[in-house]
Amino acid sequence: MTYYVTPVANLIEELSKLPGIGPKSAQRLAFYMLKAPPADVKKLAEAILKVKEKIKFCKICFNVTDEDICQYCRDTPRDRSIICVVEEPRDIVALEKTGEFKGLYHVLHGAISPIEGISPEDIKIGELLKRLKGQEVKEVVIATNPNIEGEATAMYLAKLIKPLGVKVTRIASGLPVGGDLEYADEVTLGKALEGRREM
Amino acid sequence: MAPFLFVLTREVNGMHLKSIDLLNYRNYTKLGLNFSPSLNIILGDNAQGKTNVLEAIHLLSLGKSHRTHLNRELINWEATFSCIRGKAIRGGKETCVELMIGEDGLSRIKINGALKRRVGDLIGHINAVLFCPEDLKIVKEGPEGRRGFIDDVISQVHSQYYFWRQRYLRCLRQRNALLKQIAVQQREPSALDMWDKHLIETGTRIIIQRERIIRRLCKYSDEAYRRMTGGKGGDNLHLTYLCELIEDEPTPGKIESRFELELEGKRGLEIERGMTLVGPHRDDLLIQVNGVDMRTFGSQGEQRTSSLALRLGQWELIKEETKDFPVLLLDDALSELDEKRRTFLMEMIEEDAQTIITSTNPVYFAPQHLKDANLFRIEGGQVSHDV
Repeated sequence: MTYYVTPVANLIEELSKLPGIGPKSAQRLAFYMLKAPPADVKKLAEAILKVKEKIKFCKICFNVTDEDICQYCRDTPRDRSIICVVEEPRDIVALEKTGEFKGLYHVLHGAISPIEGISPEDIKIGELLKRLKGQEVKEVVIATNPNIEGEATAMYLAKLIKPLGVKVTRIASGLPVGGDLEYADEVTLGKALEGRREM
Repeated sequence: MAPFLFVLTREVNGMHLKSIDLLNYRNYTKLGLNFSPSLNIILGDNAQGKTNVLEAIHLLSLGKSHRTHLNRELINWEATFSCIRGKAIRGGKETCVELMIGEDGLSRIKINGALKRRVGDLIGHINAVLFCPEDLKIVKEGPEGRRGFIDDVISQVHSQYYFWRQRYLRCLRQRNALLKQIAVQQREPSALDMWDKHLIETGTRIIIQRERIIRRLCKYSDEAYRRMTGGKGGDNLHLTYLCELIEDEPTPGKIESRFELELEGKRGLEIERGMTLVGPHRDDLLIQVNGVDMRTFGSQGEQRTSSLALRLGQWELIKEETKDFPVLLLDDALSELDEKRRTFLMEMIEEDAQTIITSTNPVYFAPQHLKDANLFRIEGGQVSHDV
């Protein structure tokens, strides 16, 4: 880093903190910005600042929003008896694209992971339980990632929610629709076999 | 086609490795080798890069090096990335397997040009069994090496195993971190429950596979050991799976309930020690010759023959389970053996498989072998092809 004058070195250092950006990519991005018209760079800087200023978390579900309550929680025709629990706001986008889910969401902002020091209190689990206190919610769909941390979080949630008399379900894992069986990897295919259903 | 052609050409079943290309790998900046489907001999003095070629093939087979845990070490010291490309032919169809290692030490995998997400996706395309001087450690040293050996064998015949093993190890790390937090009263012991369930689920899958494979491996390794020590009346090699969670008939249900019981009983001790004390990460493999434990009581020669028998058993097992002939990679294996075992090994090679042997000295080979083989000479990272 000492090869560059301080402002450039600072920019590279900041960029390399971003997820998925290594030192080489950071360098490339920094030089792109040096070359780009000042107006473009200003727009980018403003967009970054705006996100921090304007965007907040929904008071109900903790999705990202520019108002107090997010668009899904405001949307009255949605089914309020079912809540889908996800790890990150981007998971909502993925689920919304399916058009299959018409209920409400709850964003945990992470999964339980002792290695990273993330315990149940560090994610929005208490807030979810509060939402379930009323009579309205009949089912909670747990859509955390199918990795070890996501599964452990799902199990933890199920243990807490079941005694409240609310149905708890877990999204299925298995074959991608529209694909050929022979191209599925063995783990996915194995899981799909284990989760087979009677017809 | 004329039927006599089949008599003239040696019939090679299943898969063989057609070529390997190395870019910025260890001492090679660029290297391309084409292999014969039968015998290949790489000759060269020590420290010229013979083993590096076999290591690269082994890497394409299992996704990891047998010599280092640090991928960064595999990259040529003048470069920032490294690439290994292997082409395998199976049933007349070519598969291209590529492994790229970046500056960050992470590897990326491409199968026929398509990027794959997991290292596990690599396993099974090029099956190879590597015999190397370090194999002696499997018999001689701690249980970790024996578990690693068994896990490699299972991964080669059962592609899902790699995934479950990774999951088990991840869960183990999480659980150990949690145990340490409980010890300093940061967390409640009940937080262990959700991790226990996963540890039991993934751990049981591992135990079931290990039990099954060790039973089969025992049969093949015993056969190899007998053949090397004088046929029918030869010595007997026996493998026993040592796992605290197995009693008589190992069924998933029985193992799971035993697992649960043991975890319950040891919870206090686990918190005190800050580590998980139950599970397949504590397994071992008992290797006996005529009833004698090879680890502690085996002579150097018996230990070496045992490790060779384990590798031959692995080769036979992969052949049986996948109906494929794994490539035999022999790294300086001949110099370690006496005349009898060397002859036996060379006889076996003649029988079927594609073989790539490195050696410092051509005297270990019969003149006929040297004549028939595809011969390479390596000197200072440069390869010349002998005719």
